[in-house]
Amino acid sequence: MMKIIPKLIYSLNIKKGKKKIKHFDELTKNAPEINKQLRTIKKVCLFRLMTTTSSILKKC
Amino acid sequence: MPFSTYDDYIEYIEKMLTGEEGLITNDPIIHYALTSGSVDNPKKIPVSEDTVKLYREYATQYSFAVISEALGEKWKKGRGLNLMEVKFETLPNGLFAGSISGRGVYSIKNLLFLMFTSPKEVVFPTEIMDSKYIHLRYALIEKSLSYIVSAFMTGVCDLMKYLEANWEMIVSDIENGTINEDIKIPDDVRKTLLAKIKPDPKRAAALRAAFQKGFDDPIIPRIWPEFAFVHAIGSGGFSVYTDKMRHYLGDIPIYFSVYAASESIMAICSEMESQAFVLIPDSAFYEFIPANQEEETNETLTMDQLETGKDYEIVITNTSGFYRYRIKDVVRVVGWYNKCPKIQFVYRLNQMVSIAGEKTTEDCISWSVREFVKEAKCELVDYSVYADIGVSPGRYVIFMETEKRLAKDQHHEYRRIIEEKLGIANPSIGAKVKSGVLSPSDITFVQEETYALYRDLMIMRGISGNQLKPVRVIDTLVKENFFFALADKES
Repeated sequence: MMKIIPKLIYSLNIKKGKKKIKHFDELTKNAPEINKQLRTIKKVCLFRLMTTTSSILKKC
Repeated sequence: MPFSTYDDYIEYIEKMLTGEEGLITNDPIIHYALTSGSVDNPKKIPVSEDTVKLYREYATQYSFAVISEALGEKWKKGRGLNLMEVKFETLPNGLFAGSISGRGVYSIKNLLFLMFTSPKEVVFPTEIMDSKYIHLRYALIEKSLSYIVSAFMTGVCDLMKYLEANWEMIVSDIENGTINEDIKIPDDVRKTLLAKIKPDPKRAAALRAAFQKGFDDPIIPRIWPEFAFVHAIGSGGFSVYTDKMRHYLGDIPIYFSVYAASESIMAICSEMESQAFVLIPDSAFYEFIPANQEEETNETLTMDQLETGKDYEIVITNTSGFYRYRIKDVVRVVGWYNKCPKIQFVYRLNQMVSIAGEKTTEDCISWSVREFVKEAKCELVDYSVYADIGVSPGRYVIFMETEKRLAKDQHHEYRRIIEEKLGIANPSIGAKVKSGVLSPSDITFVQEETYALYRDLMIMRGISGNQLKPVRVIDTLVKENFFFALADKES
């Protein structure tokens, strides 16, 4: 029993990881665009940040 | 938006620690990563749920799938030895602060003892103890140990050195079901552990037979026949420890894990044994500043504008509220995975040594030391650089620990070699020595076990072993006092 449980846990993680490998492979095919999208999303947060904070703005 | 550094966020982080929310991000912050950066005042980096998820998906699931595909049936998927400990402090806002790797371990706390051999007393330490002994004591019982996972290769290497020096004591304890009285463990922990330990003379005899044959041949496959891999950060500044580990591992492969910081998991190894890391496009927004750029500018490059072979400072906008954040790392583009750059860490900008404007990087020092070792025909343990401005003009002093003491009467020759190598690695040093702007470089050998002792000392001062990186620059009074005190007067 003690030997079966680690195998099951690893198998479950590996199964999820194999899906992640495929997903990662797809992501990297469009990596620059996908990465730039992250910047666009962050700009929303950035707006909030710039309206609520001061020290960073002082450097602008 | 200008670049930012940690100092720009301190004011907000201080408020967040007392419970204020939505200051730098509206994403929920669930942890604060204590960085290893400074001994006296470690940074507290906010970590969002998204960042923890990215760590889990890439550092655990993705990496184990890569290893499984590479090793196939060679990995029997037995329990592993986990050297990452969870040492958290509770903050006023009720959240934990501790290493980011510890957070990963904490998130699987209920599965931990099904997956790993070490008892919870050492994974969640409440006091300082001889953790190397406890990790080994339990891992050695497990004949079918599958792998070792550690944040850094230094931890794995220290463990194997400890084994080499102390195997007789550990084997005797396994044989008799005891814990040697010299081992530093709190009394209650000793009592708890002893209650669960049984004598195992059969395993002890097999181990003793293996150790008695010596450590010249790789020991790991002889004591753990199902051992399949090591999972640890071991490239760049850690490579001296990786080289040492090869001696214990033989043909057993290494998975070099991730390129990450407390702020973000930025890149991952897509292959076993590869020391090139593929940038993770959905983990952070990356910008790059050419490393040789003289002028300070706000302009940056995106990943599609990078060139193979060139060095860049990396700037990230992460998933935890840091914007255009300079983590101060310089990376080199070494290839491509589809349209994504493969990178290697080259040096940290704040670990650069410059006495008279010559800007010497970790990379230069590392190359010089490796070349020194080849020419002086010695075996390296570890090294650091010290900018000695106590003499006029200033000079570079390389501190070095070697496996065997070098001949004292050859010291002038060793000085010549290191001077020559530093001058090649950074021609600015050579030119400045020639023109008298710098004094000739020197080399100081330290006593046996100096670097291991330094790490032990840091652990005793409360630094998590998961966070201890090699000392590449002697840049604090603590380091200065320590390494100068352990200079080997006989070499």
